[in-house]
Amino acid sequence: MEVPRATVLVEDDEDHAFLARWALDGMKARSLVWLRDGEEALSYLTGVGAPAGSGRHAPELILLDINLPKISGKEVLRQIRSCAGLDATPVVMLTTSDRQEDVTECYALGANSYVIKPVQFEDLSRKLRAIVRYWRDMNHTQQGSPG
Amino acid sequence: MQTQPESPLRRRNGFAQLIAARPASLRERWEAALAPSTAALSPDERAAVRQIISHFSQACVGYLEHRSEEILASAAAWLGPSGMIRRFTLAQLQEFVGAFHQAAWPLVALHANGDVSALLEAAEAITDCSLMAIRAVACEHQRRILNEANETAEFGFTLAEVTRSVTSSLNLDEVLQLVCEEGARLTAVEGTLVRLLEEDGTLACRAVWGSGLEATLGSMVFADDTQSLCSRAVQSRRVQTATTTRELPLDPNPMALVPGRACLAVPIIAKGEVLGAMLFLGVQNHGPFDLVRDAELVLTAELLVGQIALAIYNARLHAQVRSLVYALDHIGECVLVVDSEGRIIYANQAVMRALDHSPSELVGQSLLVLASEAAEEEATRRIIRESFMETREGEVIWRHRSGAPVPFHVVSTPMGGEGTRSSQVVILARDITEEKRRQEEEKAHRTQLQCKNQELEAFVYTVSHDLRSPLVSLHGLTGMLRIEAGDALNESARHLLDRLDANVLRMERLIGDLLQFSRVGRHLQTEVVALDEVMAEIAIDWQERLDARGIRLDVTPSLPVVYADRTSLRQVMDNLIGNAAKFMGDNPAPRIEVGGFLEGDEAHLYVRDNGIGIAPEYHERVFVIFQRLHTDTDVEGTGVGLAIVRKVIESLGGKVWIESQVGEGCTVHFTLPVREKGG
Repeated sequence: MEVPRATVLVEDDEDHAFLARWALDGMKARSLVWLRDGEEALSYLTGVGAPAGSGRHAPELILLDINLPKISGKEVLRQIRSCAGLDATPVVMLTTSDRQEDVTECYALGANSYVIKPVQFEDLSRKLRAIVRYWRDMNHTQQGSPG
Repeated sequence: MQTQPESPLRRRNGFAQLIAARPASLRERWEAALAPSTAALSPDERAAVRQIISHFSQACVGYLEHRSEEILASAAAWLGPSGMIRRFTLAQLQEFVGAFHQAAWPLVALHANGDVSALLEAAEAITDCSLMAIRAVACEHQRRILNEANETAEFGFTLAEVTRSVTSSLNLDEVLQLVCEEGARLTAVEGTLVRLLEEDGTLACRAVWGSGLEATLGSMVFADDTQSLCSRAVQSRRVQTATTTRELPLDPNPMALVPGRACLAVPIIAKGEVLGAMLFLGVQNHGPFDLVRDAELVLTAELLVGQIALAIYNARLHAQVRSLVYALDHIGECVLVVDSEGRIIYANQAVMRALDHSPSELVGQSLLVLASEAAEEEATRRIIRESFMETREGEVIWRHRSGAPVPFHVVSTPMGGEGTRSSQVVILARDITEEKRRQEEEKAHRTQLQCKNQELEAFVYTVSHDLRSPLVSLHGLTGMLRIEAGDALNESARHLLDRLDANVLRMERLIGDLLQFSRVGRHLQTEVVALDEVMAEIAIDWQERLDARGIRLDVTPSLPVVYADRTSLRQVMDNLIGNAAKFMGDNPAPRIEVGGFLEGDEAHLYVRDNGIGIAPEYHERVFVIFQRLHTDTDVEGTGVGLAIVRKVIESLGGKVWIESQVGEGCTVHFTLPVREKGG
């Protein structure tokens, strides 16, 4: 009955985006929206610069890289969390940085999870699938719950 | 009964006046002493005696009968049993008294030790109606009296003059010269000289007065030279006398002197120490030295010599003060003394060097003139105020003459030491401009270094991160290729993909290690760490792995407690044990030993193995990051383990080095502080 909501991937590296797409392919035909940088991500998510009437998009899950051109992942996260309607959307940081400062900062800004991209392809695929499955289940549980 | 209104006692220069000045109590004493003697006289005679006493002198103490026994008995009674009495015959006495109605002869008590202790200074005739001498009254005084009253006489004035010179002049030779001149005048001798004992035991002539004696100045004699009167005085510590002759060479050469005259050498003694002697040569208008007649000379001479002793004492004090002042002027610290009003009463030359204020212009001014701003004045004032009881320390800023502020570290102490309530404060001020500058420099340097470190860290991070990103893609793409191509790949193509993947993973490990290395030594949380505890944990961690390879791990009990970061220390021990296990080779009884001991302020620790060892030429290289001595296939690892060990140990303030030979195992030594640096 409800329209399946998209999973948003904010990723500047084309290959990484390709890998993610490939890994998530076949997960019940869920649409994966790939946004290349912070600016694009914010305009898509908050509706700024989006086609008239399309409004803002509240995706099911946001996979967010940190190192992004134009506007950094952290800034995107900050704006998402201060934006009504997006403040509860799960955001998973997906990055190659394992710097403790980044981890701490992102959680402080409201990230729901922080995932370091494993180099091994098999690990990466499994991890991405697990994340998407986990948050989908979470969303369903919350929607299905009374009250 | 007649008396002599103008008694020669009075006219006699000095002594009679001295005696006349004695207080009443003394007179009473004399009268009491006289009483039994006068009892034998007729009332008239008694009255006459009293009249003499009251008229001339309060010190007339005796009378003379015609019999010689009496004078001796009286004298003995006066001078005491220890005195050796200079005996006068009655005839001698009568000759004087009868002829001149007066006498000017002193009686001297000469003790066995040579001291002249008392005098019967003069006698007076008591005449009958026909002016025949029937009695003589002698007067006595003691040297003590003379000493006490010397300023009342003309002699005293001169002596006072000498004394004043001695106490006001700090030039010893000047004083000695004055004593020689005045001494010669006072004692009416032809010449005087002073010899002082030198360090080498000789007596150097430091001052002379008298014609023909000038050449003697600067000459020296040996202290044990019996020919020299001065030497004899110094040796015996007593007054020595002689008579000038043409034959017997004296010191100095007496040729210039009139022969047959008295000479006198008086030792200069201060606080029991013989410092030299003063020589009085050729008493004028006298014959050979006569102890009785020249007693006054001896006394005068001794008083003068006493002044010399005082002058030498002063000169020594002054020399000490001068050395102290010299020392104070040549130390780097500023030394100031201020009084209870905060006025500067002393400033050394360092003040001049530091602030360009000359000590002479500062003396008398308030210390506050050095502080030009109100806040600094208060700091200075506080230091003074609080230092009259106990030592205070602090920093103040004073002004250079040019107006430039100069920071000082100041220690102020009450004069006389801690705990004494003093009216003066000694201030030691150290110019800390340099120190401050160095501190600033160090701080700037540290900040700069920190910036550099941050930059480097950011660089390493970026590189690591940016290098990792393509690896994710690479591995991902080969993974996808394997799946997409599937069966289409032949054996050889799969092998190539395997090699590609292996290299990607190796690259990933290198980046990981580089990152780890870049993070080591940051955010150290140093504390006291018991190595025993750390090693117990490590032993448990490694137990399984070591057991699997049959390696024995021995940890010496009671390892030192060190001051370190626990996590980093664990990493060090972990890396070292890992390294030891890795390079064990094929030793049939592999063993790793961990031990340590205290060495001064440091703990010396070691990890020893009996593995393959390292050739000495590589002992340094192994600590460099990514330096590996073995080909990839031999052992795993990127070569970062020892580099991390060194970085951690050095960050903690220790050293690390290797002791090893190929085939003889390897020992990695390292040191760590056992307590906080500076704490």
